[in-house]
Amino acid sequence: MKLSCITTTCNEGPTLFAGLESVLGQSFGDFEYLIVDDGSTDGSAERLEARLAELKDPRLRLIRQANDGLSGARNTALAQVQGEHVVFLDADDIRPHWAFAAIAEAIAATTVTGAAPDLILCRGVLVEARDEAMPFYDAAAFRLIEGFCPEGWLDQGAPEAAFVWPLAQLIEPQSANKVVRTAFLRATGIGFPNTHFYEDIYFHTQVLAAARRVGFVHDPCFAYFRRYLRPQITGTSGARRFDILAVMRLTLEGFALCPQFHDPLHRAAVLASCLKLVRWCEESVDHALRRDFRIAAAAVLRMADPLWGDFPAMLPVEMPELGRARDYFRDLKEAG
Amino acid sequence: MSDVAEHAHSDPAAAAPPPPAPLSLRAFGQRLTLTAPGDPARRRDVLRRLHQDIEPFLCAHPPAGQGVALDIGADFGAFALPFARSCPGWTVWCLEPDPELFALLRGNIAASGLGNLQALPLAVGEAAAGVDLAPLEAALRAGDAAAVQALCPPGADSAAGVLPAAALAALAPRLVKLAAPGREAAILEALREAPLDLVLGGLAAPVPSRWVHRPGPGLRQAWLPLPEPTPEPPRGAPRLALRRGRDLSGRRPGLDIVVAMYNSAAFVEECVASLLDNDMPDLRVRVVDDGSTDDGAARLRAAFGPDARLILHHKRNGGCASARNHGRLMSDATHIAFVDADDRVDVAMFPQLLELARHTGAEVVQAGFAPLERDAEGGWSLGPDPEADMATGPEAAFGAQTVRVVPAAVAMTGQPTIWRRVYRRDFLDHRAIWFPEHIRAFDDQIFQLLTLHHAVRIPTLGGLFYHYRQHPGQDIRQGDERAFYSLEMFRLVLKRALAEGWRDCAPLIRSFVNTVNWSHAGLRPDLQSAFLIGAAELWVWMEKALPGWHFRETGEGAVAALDFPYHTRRFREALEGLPASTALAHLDTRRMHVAMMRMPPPAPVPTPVPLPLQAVPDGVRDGAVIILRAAAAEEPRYLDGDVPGQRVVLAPSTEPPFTGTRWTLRRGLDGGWLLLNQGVAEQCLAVGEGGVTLAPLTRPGEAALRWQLRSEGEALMLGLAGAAPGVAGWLCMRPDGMPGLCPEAEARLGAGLWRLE
Repeated sequence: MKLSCITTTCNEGPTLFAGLESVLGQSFGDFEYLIVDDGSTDGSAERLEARLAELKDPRLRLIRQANDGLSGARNTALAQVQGEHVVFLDADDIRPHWAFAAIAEAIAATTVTGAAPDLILCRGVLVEARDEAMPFYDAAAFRLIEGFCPEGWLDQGAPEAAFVWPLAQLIEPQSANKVVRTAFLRATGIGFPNTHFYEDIYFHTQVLAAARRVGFVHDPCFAYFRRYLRPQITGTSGARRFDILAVMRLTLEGFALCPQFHDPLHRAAVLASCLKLVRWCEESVDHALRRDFRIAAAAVLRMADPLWGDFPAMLPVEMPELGRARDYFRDLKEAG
Repeated sequence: MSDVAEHAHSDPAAAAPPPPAPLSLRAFGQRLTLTAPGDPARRRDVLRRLHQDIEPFLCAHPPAGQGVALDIGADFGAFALPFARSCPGWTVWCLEPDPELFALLRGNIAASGLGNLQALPLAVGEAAAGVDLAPLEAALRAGDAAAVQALCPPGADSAAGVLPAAALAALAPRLVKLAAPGREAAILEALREAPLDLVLGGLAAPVPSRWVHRPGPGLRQAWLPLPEPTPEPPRGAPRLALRRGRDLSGRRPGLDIVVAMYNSAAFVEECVASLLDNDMPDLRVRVVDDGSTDDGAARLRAAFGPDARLILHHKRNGGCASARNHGRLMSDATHIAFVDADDRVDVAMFPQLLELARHTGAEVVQAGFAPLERDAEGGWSLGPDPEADMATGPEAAFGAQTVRVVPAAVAMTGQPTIWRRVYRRDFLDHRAIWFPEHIRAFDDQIFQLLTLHHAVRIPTLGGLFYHYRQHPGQDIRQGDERAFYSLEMFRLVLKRALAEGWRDCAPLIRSFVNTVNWSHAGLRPDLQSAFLIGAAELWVWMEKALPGWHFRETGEGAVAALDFPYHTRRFREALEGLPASTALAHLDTRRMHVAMMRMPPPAPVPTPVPLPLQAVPDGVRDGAVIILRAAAAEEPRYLDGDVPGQRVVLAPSTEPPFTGTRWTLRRGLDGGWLLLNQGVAEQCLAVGEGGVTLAPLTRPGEAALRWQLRSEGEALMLGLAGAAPGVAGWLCMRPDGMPGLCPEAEARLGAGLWRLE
């Protein structure tokens, strides 16, 4: 089996079937689709059971568990997938009908010259609450990568890798843009950080650092929806925002064990992609929690390896995030 | 108790029991005066029961507009008269075998003028053998008290007549008030099909709760207190009363025992046999087969197939926590317990725990436990009660058992023993306490801490035990990475304790230290240091998050490992100067994630070509704002971006301030430089078909925008190398005074030399 697609659900309400229907509409059929219901209390699990019973499609499977968090639910599925590569899809997001085919083609194109890619990153589309569809936030980074890497894939150790890996780190960390080789995940032991939201940045950083070969798909392969119908889990202003600090800690600790930690540009890109989320959370969290947020953020940076504070003396113009991250890092670390 | 009416009529000087006297009372919204026995203690007792037990219960569970009430042991009418007056749509049947009390009762009824009371001088007992109940039932249905009395001759052990309990159902009572010591169980059993909404009064001893805890008929709301222990019960002891509130949950009244089974075929039959060896119809055993590869399920089917109380569930392997949660999700019962498939219990343990739960209403009740160990003959035998020394506090009788109360603060610091307890399902759901499914060992620790904390006081049965089998290969003895699950769980509990506003975290801290000591001692040596560092980090977060008095019982010194203070000091130093904040409890570390601790070290990667950041000419740095002056020109000539035509020219500047272009140097990814025209955003120095020009910064990867800088003495050369055909060369001042590209030789002659200003 080529692909395993994973969706987790928890109280999805009216958007429950959006992703499922788009998976059923794929032009490429060699996949399994695992849905993990993470302790829904709104009847989502029962509705899924009924829909799957109606569809009688052997590629679809529902796993029910008590609420354990999004990361725990994804890890539950990862332990059970049987496809050669894994992809992720939020229940309310969708994949265009060509997505799996484009992904399978990219895997095949890369595999011709050797091993299958450990990781493929795909472009996507953002649909704003005003129903405006546009290229995803990271289109500029993909354009740069396309310039450095016209064949659509690259091995770590190639001369361009010195730029492409940091650029890929700056791509949006979300899971829908990733195709990950299952055996690679099992061998490295990489998973999602249990009990936390904002979990993607940890997974993104780890798989990218460990991937020997990375591919890129420039056809948009998913549509991410911002909706009023169902608020984003991460769109809260409550204490859940602190999760990004926990995940940053795990991400920094994990990356510090990787050899690329000693590449200043890659290191700065990891920090910048974490801090971008931290800044978003700081600017979104309840004002009553902001003081505590900065204290905890400062604690994370102070407990981190001091090398994180050492930025390249000269930062590439294509990555203006790095300069902003450097300033924010210094500002946060002195907080409290 | 102080009561105005009671004082007015009592005579404290009398030595002999005083004669009956009027008693004014207020109940159910009525005020009335009854003639009551003169003994002051008895009068006080009647009023106390009325106001502390009966009236609050009826206030909370108001009777319907009409019905039949059965007052068994009506005494002088302290309940029946105010109730009959308060509920004129009801008929109240009063049974009182004591002749003197019956005389008072009859007098009180007559004096009240109420027409909805029937009084019979009868006790309730067993029917004599062979008696036909049909005429009696007909008389009861007809409301013919005289006929009923005539049909109930005195029994062998009773001077008064005896009404067989079995006949009571003929009245179809919706309310029964019990004051019939020793007869309660028989009466409730006889009324099992009566449409009882309300069951009140009192019990002399525990009765099987199943007659009350059933789906119907009637609402079956009950308050039947057991006699209060003498002397006074200890503070915080639960009131023992068979109770049941209005059932709004729709759950099946009963206990589901969830048995998580994974390859336990050798023991599971013994386990299930011990759970089913009782006559409780409302107890069920849900065995969840968590993807076993042995024949445990088949053996169970063979051994217990016909017993409908055993339910088998199958699922893919997901770990003990997921199996327990699965059983809970499948359960429809009001009470739940979690048993391990290789253990067993004293057969009376769970039936008695359910009775205790229903007589206390407690969120959590528990029994004792003892290790089941290999003995010398190769069998299994029960070891000593590990809590024998801890059994402090007074015990109360509970039927054949005893019950005492263990405070949560004490229970929380012990080892996790979640399997010897019965939990209220609504409590677990309300508090959102689940077994965390991603945690594959010690998952019961968080469950234990949260349930005990919120249950506050744990009624504990004496003399009945859960047999906890000790295997040499048991999880908790491996000493591997799973120990880190404990750190994660204490992090999660700390987060909840803060969010839920726990008043006192001292038991949590004590439990943490006990766990750290226990785990560290048994841990594989190569993991000990990481474990201690993780524990020290969590300790420092707790210090930052909680006021110091939470640590009054347990300081850092209670951790046995000698390195612990070193690690806590390091974290304190890192956080020095940061204010205290609960936010630190939201942090995390790899040392609290078993999956991360198990990850193999990252393999070395082929070293990518390093960034060409070396050999940068003096004065050149990223972000510098410069002016480029042609070094060889006699007159000052400056490189000027003439923006309107997107042209680049060499402009003379005759006087300060300089009006030409300032350029911003930006380093590109490949080590090349971009020269951004500072006057206009996103325009930079480029080479196109028309020579040197300005181009928008849309594709910064494009080679025609990237310049290499090379030192030439005190001057610089700007070159394009490896670019598209026709655009290689060095930035020069052409003879016509315009900038252009020229070959290296020409550039070296001076036309291509520039100075930064």
